[in-house]
Amino acid sequence: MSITLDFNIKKLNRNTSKGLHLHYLPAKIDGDAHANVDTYFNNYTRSEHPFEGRVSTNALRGYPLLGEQIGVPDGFKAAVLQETRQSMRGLTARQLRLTGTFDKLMFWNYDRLPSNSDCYRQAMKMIKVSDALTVPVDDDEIKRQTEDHV
Amino acid sequence: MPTAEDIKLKSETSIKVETSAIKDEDESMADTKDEATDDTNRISSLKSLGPFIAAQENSKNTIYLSDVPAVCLEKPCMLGVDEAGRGPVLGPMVYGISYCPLESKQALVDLGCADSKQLTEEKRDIIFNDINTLDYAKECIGWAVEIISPNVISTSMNRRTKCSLNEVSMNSAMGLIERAIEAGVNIAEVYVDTVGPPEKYQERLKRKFPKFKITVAKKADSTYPIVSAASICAKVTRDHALKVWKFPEGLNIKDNGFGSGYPGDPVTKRFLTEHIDLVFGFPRLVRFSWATAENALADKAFNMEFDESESEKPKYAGTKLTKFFKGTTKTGEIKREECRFFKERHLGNVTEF
Repeated sequence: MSITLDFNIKKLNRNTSKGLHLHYLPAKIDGDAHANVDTYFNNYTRSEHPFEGRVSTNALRGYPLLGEQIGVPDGFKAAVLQETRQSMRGLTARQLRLTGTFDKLMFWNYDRLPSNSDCYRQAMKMIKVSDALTVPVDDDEIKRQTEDHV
Repeated sequence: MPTAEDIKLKSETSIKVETSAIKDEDESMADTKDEATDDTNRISSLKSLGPFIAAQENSKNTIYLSDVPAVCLEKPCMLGVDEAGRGPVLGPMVYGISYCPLESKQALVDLGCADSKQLTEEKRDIIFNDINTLDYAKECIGWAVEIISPNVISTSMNRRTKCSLNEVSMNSAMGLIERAIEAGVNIAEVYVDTVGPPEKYQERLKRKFPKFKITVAKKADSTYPIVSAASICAKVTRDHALKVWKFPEGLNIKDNGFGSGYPGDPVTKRFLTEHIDLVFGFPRLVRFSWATAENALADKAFNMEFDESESEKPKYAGTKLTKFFKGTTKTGEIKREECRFFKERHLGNVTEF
């Protein structure tokens, strides 16, 4: 089974200032439908939390949220892909289309200030680790390093 | 003369005016502003109450203090505290205080301040208007209210460390008394109406305000005219807050389309079932922390589960010896635990895209 990403690469590189506004919510929502984000949520985002100016406040179903904007890691592009023919899943070649891109997202915590212990920030550390593990090393460098140590 | 003791401050931002120099400046600014936008910055009659409330952000708390009558700065005063809208599943809860010199009790009686639940809505409106417009009332009675937004009620009650409605109430009452003290009211006696057990409440107020004679009683509303006055201010404010409620969600609900807000009211029930958003639940007029609201969502909206990871944290009991034999299944296959690095970072392998 193969997966085809069916879009023009230029679209991905296009200025993303008009990109999607993503919210990373600290809740599992058992549902998939259109959401009235602007009127029921964005309308209520405030950034005057007493602790720090960079922190925004809002609420989800009466649960208090504290959030901050986080950029997509350097060197990465963020895209939302959608599959049109979902019923064919797993049977034939799949085709995914680009529905939008974004360069930052709003990360929300349930009643806790955003910090380095948040799962999202923790997970993103993988990028640094994989970078370190995949940097190509050539013979000259190895020679130099061993000589330094001798 | 008490110049317009400035009026409107959002309780959440609670900006305190530090020096008298800044204060003077603020007041002169407020004075000029008052003239220009008199209708939404000041409550001077029943008519200006609605526009004032409508101009505030309804997802946050709002505090309003009336001008302090000159006599209240000098003569010892009594102060009454009461609330409105504690039980309803929607709309704000309003705390009200009113105060007047001990010797002016007759003025309250003349105004008709009695048990506010015995009074009709119309009568309450008239008394509220009288308090703000009649000279003999304006000269001795001052009042203040805090409109506690349903959004704030929900989020307080749903915090990780829950803040109960009683806690919210007490903080509001004490906050208002403090504001009256800051405004220079010479308080001698405080009367508080309570639904819960009076003893605990009384003790807390005593600790906070040791200089005042404090009386906390059930149904103080019908016993002490000053509490009735506070109750009327609170009730009238709550009623108007609902009347002028604008839905940031963009809903357009006709006058009284949500009923009294009491969970038993059929109009309220219908409102709750008809205005469910699958993802976000209700408009924030509704108190999500009420069982009625939660139940309505449990049936009709998407199920939603919040991260509450700390409650699930397993207690560390040391490595078990048998752990080393557990890895193999019957077929001899070896199951490996995921590396700690990945586990702690919530990372896992994905083969399905």
